[in-house]
Amino acid sequence: MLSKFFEAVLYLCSFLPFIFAVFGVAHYSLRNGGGRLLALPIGLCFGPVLLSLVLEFFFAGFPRRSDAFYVTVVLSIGTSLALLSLVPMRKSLVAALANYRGLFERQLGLIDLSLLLLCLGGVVLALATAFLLPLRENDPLEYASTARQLLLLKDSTQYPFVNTDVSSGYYGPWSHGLGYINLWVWNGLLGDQQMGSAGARLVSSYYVFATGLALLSVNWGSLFRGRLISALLYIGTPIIFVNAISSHIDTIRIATFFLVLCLFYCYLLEKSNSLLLLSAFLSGLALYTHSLNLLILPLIGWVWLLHERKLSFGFFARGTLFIFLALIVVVPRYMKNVEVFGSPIADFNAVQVWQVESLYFEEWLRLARRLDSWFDRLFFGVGKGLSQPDRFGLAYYVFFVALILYVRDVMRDGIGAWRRFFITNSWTGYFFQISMIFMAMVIVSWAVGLDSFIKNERYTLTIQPIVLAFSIPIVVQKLKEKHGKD
Amino acid sequence: MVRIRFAALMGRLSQSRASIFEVAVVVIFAVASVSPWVYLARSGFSKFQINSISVFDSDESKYAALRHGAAQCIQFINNFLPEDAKLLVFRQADFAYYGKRPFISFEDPKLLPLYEQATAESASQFLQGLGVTHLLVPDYAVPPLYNSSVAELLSDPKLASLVFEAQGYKVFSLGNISRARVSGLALSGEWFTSSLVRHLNPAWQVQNGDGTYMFANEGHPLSDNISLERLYAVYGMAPLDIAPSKAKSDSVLIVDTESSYFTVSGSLRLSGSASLYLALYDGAGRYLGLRHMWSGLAKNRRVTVSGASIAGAPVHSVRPVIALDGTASAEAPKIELIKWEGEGVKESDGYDPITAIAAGWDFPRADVNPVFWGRRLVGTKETVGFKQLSSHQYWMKSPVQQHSDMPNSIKFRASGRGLFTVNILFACMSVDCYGSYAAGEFFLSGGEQSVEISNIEIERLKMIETGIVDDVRGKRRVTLPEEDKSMLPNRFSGKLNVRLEFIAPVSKAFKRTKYQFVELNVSDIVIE
Repeated sequence: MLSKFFEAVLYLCSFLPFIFAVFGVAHYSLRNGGGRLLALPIGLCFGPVLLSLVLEFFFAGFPRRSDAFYVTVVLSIGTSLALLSLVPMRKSLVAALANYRGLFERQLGLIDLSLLLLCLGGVVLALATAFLLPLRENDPLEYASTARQLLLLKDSTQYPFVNTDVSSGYYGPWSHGLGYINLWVWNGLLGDQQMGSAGARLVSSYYVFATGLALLSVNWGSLFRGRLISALLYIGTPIIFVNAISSHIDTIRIATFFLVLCLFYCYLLEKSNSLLLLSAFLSGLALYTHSLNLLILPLIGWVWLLHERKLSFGFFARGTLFIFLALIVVVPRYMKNVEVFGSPIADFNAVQVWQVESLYFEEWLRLARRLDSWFDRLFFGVGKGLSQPDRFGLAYYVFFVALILYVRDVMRDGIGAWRRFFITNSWTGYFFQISMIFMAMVIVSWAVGLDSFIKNERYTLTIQPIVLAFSIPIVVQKLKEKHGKD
Repeated sequence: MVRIRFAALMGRLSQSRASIFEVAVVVIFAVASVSPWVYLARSGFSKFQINSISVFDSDESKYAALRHGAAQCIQFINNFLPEDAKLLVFRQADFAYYGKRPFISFEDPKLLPLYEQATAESASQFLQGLGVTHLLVPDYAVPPLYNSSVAELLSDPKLASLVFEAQGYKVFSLGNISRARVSGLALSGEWFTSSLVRHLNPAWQVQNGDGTYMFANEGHPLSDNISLERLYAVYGMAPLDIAPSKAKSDSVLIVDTESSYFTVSGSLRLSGSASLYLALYDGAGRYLGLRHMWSGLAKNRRVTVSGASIAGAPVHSVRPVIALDGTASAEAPKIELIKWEGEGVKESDGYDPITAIAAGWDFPRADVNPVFWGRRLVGTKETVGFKQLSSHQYWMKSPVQQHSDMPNSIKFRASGRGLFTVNILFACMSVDCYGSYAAGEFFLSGGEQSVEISNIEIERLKMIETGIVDDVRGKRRVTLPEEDKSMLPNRFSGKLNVRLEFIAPVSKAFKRTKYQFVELNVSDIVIE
């Protein structure tokens, strides 16, 4: 028990060089704006993904070496990156720490302190539960098995495992990047060959913590209590909690998705080149964790267009640079996917057996996921957030209250006030735009008969932190205004 | 630095309604946020079905301790199938991670030709050509299991024989197996459905706890106590709704004392999701539990129904029932329930103690003295209306703990004169073991003339599906010698002592298991 615990701690500590590296760069890019606090969650979130990327590089370029080789080179590179990133800005690091000290140095009332403790308690509970229970859910088991095969082969060019002759019978037609899976491989390289319940089991909960911290760090103009409640409701979202304890990939996918969008808003505010480059590269890392994060690109495209209000050469140039930097991380994977599956991202079409008409897999998928009739797709698909509070918690109900309050506030300015919906000059307005664009995409896809956005309840979760970051501060602010008390 | 302005806060709370309102809002949010954790932590543990002892073990040990069909099947495969056995798995995730035998996933493109095979025979040959020796089938709908010839393969015991089953998960062995059909029951008549299901108004359709519905053959009384509660009361602890004597068995198939091999095969027109189970009954007509046979999912079309199971005493009869999920409907089922000859199929030869010891299993022992508190009975020459002789169950803190301080007798009265026949049913249930052995002595003493019956040979019986635990039940009919008839008084006051030695095979992974569940039932006493 104790050895497993220390093994898990050691595993998490191995992320530190990469966390420092990303944190340093993020802090440098965000040093002038209000988004300084975002540097830490960005470091926590993207540090391990960067580690995965480095590991894949060596698995592809230097396959079948010893465990010690990979551990040594990956940690060396991480340490070098951390030094490169942190040493030049060691002085401003003191200021960075002061930011976080300032966040909590405020006088916390009993309520705020209780909320904070509840947040931490939730994360600890998730970590402990994940640590104690065996791996059992279907998808995490598949990811873990994929990682085991990679660990055995030490050659990432064999991934995805569609040729079962090389993978001891294991069939894993995944088209996602190895961002999450390589964290399991890393666990195995560090010594837990069985990849049991030690470090890798904690990764999902770790990302819940990172997202909670991000929710505390964004929207810095709003009440601290509102941000606390956002974080608490995110951690307490039932399906998030289940995903965390069962080691699902979704918490890492959602964390990267949310933080990239937050970072991009900082870019829109400051228009600094370093923020543009960092947003683009981190978008690439987000794509590297899960194919669904490809949604980042159209979402950013729309809000960017709304913000710029005109199509100029500069916009196209920066946009092209952004897409190039984002895709450069994942293009090798997409090319491999085209070679294996015939398309950069594969889903239903990845499994040939599923295409056999006489087996009726498509019918099975629709019925099993309650997406057979248009009403089912509307109610259980588009309206998942409202029709399944046992899974999504209160978020979408609060969201609609906040939506009414927000629209009422905006429209109070009289004729022409609706134009404010298209102006990105506040976190609230930004999150509103993101939410609306996402929901419009969901509704349009439903209207044209596509199931892409609704076939999986986890897809609806994608904007869960954005929904909370938008709605809770509005409601809390309204309560404060109404009662005039802190 | 965090400073709590507790006094100021309390002061404000006492002075301001607004603050109280705000506090209420925050509390509601906090409760709403915490409740999922509490719920999920609890349901999470029950969902993962792991006891509180082994949580600090390795993942493999924890998984092996799960009371889940997949985990038990994989444990069986790892421990008892030959090293060169190769499995076709219809749920890859668990087996790929925890299994220790070569396997092929049902999604592997190599199997594309399999799904084009027209007959079960050719499907079997194709699989054997790939080196597949066994199949691992889950308890939920997987399209090839109702849309291809694989379905027929599973209901043809001459081609694929069930070797292990646990909570709907099944391990089949491929190969030519000699087995003759004993009897069959064509179930192509009209099936009755009703939503009028209440505990006091038992109808044919019952609502399961998970929202599914079940229905059974029309035209026969519900003599088997199916009700909302009883579906989960698989230990026979709840009172009977209808006396066993009213039971009719013409819609059920009778199981021999020896275990029997059952298959279902046929088709039905399905819209939605459905599963077919066998409802199990003992000799008194009491409902014992459900055995999963098949699951399917279709949109208003005909699908193949197939499945296999084994049953042995105390299961006396089985009846097919269909569980419909939500708004699903099933029409025109043409299903045949067939009993096949032979030993049935064992859980595994490995449960033989010698083999098990060789495999590194441990056998803790326990002497327990179960307790009966019987109801007052008035018997006749007919079957005594021994509806329920209450059973006693208790948990042993460890497999070797004694319970000698408990009373161990049952008193009953019966009238009439003749030969007493006592049927004793007992069950030793071990929460964390695959199965258990039981051996015991039974003493019957009555009136002034005490008759001792001992050295009863307890039959080793097949595992009975009991929902969450596995058990082995012994049944012994004891007939008093003819010469003792005269000794029996008209009014009989008897005392039943039971001493049971409990021997449970426990794997290394379960060594620290503390809780063993032991239940004993006296099912009925017949005076002839």
